[in-house]
Amino acid sequence: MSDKPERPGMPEGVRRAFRLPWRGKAQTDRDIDDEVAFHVEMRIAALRASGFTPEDARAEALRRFGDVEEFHDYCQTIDAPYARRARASRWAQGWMQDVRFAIRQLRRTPAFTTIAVLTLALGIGANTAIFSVVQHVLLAPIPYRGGDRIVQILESIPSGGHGFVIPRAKLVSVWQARAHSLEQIVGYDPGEATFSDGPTLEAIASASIAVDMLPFLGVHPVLGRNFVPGDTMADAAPVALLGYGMWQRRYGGSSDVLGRLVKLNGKSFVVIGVMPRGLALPFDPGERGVWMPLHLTTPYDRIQVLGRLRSGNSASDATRELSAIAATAPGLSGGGKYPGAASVFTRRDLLGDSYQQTLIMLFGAVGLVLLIACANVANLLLVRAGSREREFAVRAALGAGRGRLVRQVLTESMLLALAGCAVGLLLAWRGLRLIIALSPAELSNLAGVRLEPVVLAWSLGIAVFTGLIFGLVPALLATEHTIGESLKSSTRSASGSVRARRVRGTLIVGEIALSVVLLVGAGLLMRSFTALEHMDPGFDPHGLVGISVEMPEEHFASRLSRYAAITQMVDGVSKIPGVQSITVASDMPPNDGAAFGDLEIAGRTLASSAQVSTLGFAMGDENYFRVIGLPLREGRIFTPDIPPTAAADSAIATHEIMINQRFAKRFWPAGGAVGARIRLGDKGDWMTIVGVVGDAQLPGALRVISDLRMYVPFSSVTSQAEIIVRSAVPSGTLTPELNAAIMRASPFIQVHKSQTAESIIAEAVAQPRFAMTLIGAFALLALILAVVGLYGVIAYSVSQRTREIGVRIALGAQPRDVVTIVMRQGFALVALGIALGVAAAFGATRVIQSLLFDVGSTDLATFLIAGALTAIVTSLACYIPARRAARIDPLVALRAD
Amino acid sequence: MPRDVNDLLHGTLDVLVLKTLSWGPMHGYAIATWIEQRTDGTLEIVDAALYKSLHRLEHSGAVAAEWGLSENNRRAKYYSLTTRGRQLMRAETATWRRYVVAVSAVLETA
Repeated sequence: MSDKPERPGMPEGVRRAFRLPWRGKAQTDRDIDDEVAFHVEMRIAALRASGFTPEDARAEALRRFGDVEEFHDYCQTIDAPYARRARASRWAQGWMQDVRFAIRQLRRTPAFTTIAVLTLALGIGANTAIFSVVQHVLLAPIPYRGGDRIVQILESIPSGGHGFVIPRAKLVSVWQARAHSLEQIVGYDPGEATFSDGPTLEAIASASIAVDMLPFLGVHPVLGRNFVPGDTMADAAPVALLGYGMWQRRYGGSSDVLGRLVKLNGKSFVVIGVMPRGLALPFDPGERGVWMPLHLTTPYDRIQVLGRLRSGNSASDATRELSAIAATAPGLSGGGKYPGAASVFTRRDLLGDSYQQTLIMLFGAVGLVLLIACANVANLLLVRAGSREREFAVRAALGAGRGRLVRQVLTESMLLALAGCAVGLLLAWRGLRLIIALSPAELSNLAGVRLEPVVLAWSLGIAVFTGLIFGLVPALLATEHTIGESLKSSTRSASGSVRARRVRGTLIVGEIALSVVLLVGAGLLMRSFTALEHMDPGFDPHGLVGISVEMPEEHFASRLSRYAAITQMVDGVSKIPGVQSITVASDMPPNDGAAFGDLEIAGRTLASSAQVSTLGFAMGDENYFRVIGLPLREGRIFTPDIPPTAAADSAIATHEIMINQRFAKRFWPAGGAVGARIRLGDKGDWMTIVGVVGDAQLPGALRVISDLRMYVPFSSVTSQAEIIVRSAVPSGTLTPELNAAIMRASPFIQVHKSQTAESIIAEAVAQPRFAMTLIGAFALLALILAVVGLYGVIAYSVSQRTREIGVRIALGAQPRDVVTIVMRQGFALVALGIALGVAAAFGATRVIQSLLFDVGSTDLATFLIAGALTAIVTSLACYIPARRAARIDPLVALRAD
Repeated sequence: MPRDVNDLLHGTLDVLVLKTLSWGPMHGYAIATWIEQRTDGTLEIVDAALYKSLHRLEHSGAVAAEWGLSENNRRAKYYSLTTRGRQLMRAETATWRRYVVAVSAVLETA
């Protein structure tokens, strides 16, 4: 029978207190065996004393014990769970002890604890905030039935173009009847409506939705009923559902609203219900104020389409199937010349690469910030461990194993990490609001971003992870050479162990390198943004306001009536004080529409120009170019169409057009565009180019259908128009008067929305601005953390070298020499860090190449500035402790410790 | 032949063990010999049964066990009575007495 040798002089209780609380099944087994063995041996001894032979004594003792095996099994079954419980409780007690001890230790050094917790809070907070955005935008499912399979369906522009258009309603109904890759296809038509319930008018976001939209989403009105097919009948009373927000705002959430008559675009609607709170259509940024059933007046209408993929079908399966259907649909394929095609988009497709890249880039940036924070705290812990060497040595001498000490140190770092996590969550909560406020509204609905449970779990996860990262190395180093040297040496070791010093240096170099990477990234985005902001839009957007109006067909059936209404509007608007000039057009520049058809140039073969089948397209009156400030480069302004008359209700087109410079350069590089004739498609009219104007463009060339653009005279064929004015007063203040003037022209005119050219441009740079602001903030944070870390390391090293420096000064070293010694040490780290950072940045910035406008990802100036900025700031961090070192009084230094 | 625990009425061995431990902490062998001596060998208990009883009582919290050094300097498991064990002993003793009275009454009138 095994019998452990006893450690002499060590009472059982004391030994147990230091034993690791780890008793497995083997231990339980051994205990049972020991107990039986002891009993049997005692019995044998007793029997032998009463005269038994050794063999007989043994046999008798075993006989009297009974079935040893059975006893063993019995004890195993009842002891094992007990032992497990006891083990767990001892383990928990051990941890509690560690935690209590750690709290005491941390409270004893409040400055260290505060700095460490704050550093971690910044890192974890930034990560949490960005992760919740990423979670919301990219990871969380769309919150509707089968939300991860909901897709948007668009029609592709015929061959050669690179855009998509809203599908024709007629095509949608064919898809609905024949598509198998999608469970359901529903249409909707977002818009704006003038809402009135009483004397005041209000423009609110509205949408017409298919009757089966709510079942598609799997939601029900919170009050009242959903639309039914009967609601869309021609003779049915018009009905509407209110958005939850609108209901709360206008009616205080009262249920009396059911059956109420409200006016939408001048027409009466019965309110039949209220939508659930926050209901927004998938891929649609916000809640809408009022919902109407979708009514298709003509089969040529175009409607937005959502679908839900059948399980197992991908978006590209659906694209293929819907395209095949569109190509063969009778009467829809354009006679086979422009076969229709579909494109099915998932949420990720719709977000666009640049948005996703921005998020991923930000995610990477906060990851680097967290690494820097970890490195800083690890450094702090190393310094602290250095000053606690003796404590560890004493504890080791009292019987604590290395594992036990490492666990103790890790408990401390874990506590720091958790405290950092708690504070970080607060920061994230505040920071998130800031991020939401900064985020470009049109891109995605960030307003719904919350610190959700999954985000909290994630933060906790990174806290534990970081606690391990920054705690483990100091823990291992601190407990490495415990008992021997530390207790023996009466003075503190020169400056911690050599290895600890090397680790501290490495961490600082890493921190500096990472912040250089972030600074370079931020610098590139900043330069790119500046380039975007200063990009010449080609026209003069200042003070330009556009109001989009619609003249509904039921009130403006003839072209003459539309022409007259427009003339009246122009008259009324031009009388408003502050309005300098006015023009009527199809779109607010720099936005435009699209014209389709293979481009053909008179006198040239089709093949030489037909690779272009989509052109940017805008209509304007003869004042258009002067009002928006688009310079005429060549030729003259086109002659306007001859307006319709009572006798002949059609405008007579002059077939004169203008093109932009890029268009002219592309096809007439040597000049000669003016006078040339072009047409779009073999059924199109021939049109004469009479002038060339500058290129009006959106900064960053986002959402532009084509670089090539043609301008045709505005004719009153369409029911929509954009009244554009240039004003001397701030553009926003004019809107109410403009609306009023337009309403005075005719009560039936609907005002859709008013916008300024400046706001369109600002929106186009909103995303780059968002990316730049955030990454700039993170880079700054990284730099601050790295500098604080460097300062800490140098200052600590100076405090450790006090005696050495004191000796040097006593031997005649000048303050300048001392400064040099200290600075040299810092510079070595800084130089290495910057060099590594620059090298890493060369690789890392390639990732953001596609986000950059007019700046190369290896832009030399940015690299130089980032490097120089780091060098200057870090030198300061070295200089302060160096100055302090120079002022050391040798007498004091030599007497100390 | 020593009697098996199954032959003893339920709880008898437990109450004997508890009673024995009420004299002070002891290891299993000491308990066994103590009972043997007290009963002059009338009750010779199978050792395995005694240890089963001890482990059972340990888990029910009636006795506490601790490894210690025996009188001959060997590692031995010492059992001692807990407060709960003391209460259990009193209750069991009372039950046993009532039982004995009841059984005796039946046997004597028969």
